Amino acid sequence: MAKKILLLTITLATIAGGTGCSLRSVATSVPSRVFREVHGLRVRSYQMTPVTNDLRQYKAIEIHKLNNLMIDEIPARSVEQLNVGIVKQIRALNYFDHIAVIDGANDSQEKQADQPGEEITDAMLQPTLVLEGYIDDFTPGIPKLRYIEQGNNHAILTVRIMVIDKLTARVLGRMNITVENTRITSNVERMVGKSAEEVARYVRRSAAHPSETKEAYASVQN
Amino acid sequence: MQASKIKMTKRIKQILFLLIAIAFSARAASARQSPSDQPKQGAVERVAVARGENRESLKRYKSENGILSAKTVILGGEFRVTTVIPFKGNFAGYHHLEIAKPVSLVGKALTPDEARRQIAKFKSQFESRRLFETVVGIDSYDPTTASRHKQSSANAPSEKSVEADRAESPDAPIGSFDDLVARDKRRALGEDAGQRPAADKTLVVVIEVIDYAKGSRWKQALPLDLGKSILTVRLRYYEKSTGEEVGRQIISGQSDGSSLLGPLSPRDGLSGVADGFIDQVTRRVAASEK
Repeated sequence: MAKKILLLTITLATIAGGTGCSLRSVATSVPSRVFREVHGLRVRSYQMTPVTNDLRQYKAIEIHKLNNLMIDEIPARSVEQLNVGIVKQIRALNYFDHIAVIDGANDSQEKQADQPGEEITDAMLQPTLVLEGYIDDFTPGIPKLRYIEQGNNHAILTVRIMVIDKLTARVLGRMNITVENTRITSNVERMVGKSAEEVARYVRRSAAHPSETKEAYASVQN
Repeated sequence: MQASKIKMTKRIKQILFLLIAIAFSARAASARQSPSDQPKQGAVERVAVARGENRESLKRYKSENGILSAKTVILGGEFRVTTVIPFKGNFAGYHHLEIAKPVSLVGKALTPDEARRQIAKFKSQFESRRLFETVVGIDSYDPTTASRHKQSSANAPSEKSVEADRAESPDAPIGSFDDLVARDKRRALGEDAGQRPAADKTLVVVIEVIDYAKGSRWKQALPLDLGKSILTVRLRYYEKSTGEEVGRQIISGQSDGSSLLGPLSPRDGLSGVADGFIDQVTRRVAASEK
């Protein structure tokens, strides 16, 4: 009799446990999946050197191509998209009078500038910011694993940005920006675009409102 | 009936006791790896533990899958490895490991205490694996100094080598029979030295932290995909004496509470990185040993 009761109890407990677990997983995975689709393109940024000077005097900027520390592990297409995206986003700020783009491979030659020849000399006399940086990490992630919500599956791009005074070569501010994409419906391009936006936002914040960047050294949307 | 009830109660108690014991042993295992109980040291941590290496077990070594495995499904703490510069050279010749204190590329987010915790964890795991004779934590490593030192010693040839070069020159006099025998010996030794692998090399690992979030177990308990523990490091591997970079990798570990143990899992981002780091070095040493 006791054996029967024990067997029945174990069977019922197993069924209840199993059902409970599967119900729990369904119940808990739906909100997290929905939440991830909305909130899945996340940014973590870390202030390495806070901007302490008033940078509002700088109305010219030189944008250098990012130094790629990931070598062949990041597609050339993504590197190009990131570099072009940064320039585009900084132009869209409409904050700087002069924007020059410098090719990383040949720093001494300006590829293109926003102003014609004679104006370049004027621009060189005024305080100029130099934007340089590194691509520290990149992975496209594994979208198939995102469907089953298993493993280390997210896409990630980490860039390190420096704002430098051109005349003195002094580093005025440094920031580490990581964009992570855990969405099922999103792709690498969206993540790279978001990184470019974040870099431009940092430049704008540093150049126009130095007091804001002083406040927090790290902002983690987690 | 009463007896069976008592028996059943006893059995339930036994099962409960077993479950509690398992939970405690898991906690104890994680605590053993946690360096919080380690003595706090100054800026320079230089403690060599010479336990001797044992590479016998490497013959049966199976590499770990960090992205998805039974371990990560149950306990979490998965990791990803991106090899930027593939390993160069024979790793079997490395018998000493030096791990430099992690360099923070995430500003003040990485506290000195956390950096110490990381290095202690790597060190303890390497020691338990017994891959190297000594595992040492160092304050920093500058590869340019090592390469400059090597260059300067190469540029200043010894008196012996100058003499030998002069004797090998086509303009040198033929000399006696003894001179010829000595010259042959010298050549043989020179060839030997060229072919012999450096038997006692030191591998230096420089760690740069490029992403870090401590995470929160409370947030992980919410069904909102929050509170992830993340650690991403760039590992640069150097041959100590030459300063040559023999490999570069990105290893990223995370724990988000989605494992079977959920937020109760003792593993975090650092556990994943430590597993990935040790696995990568072990793989390379095992391949070289074979």
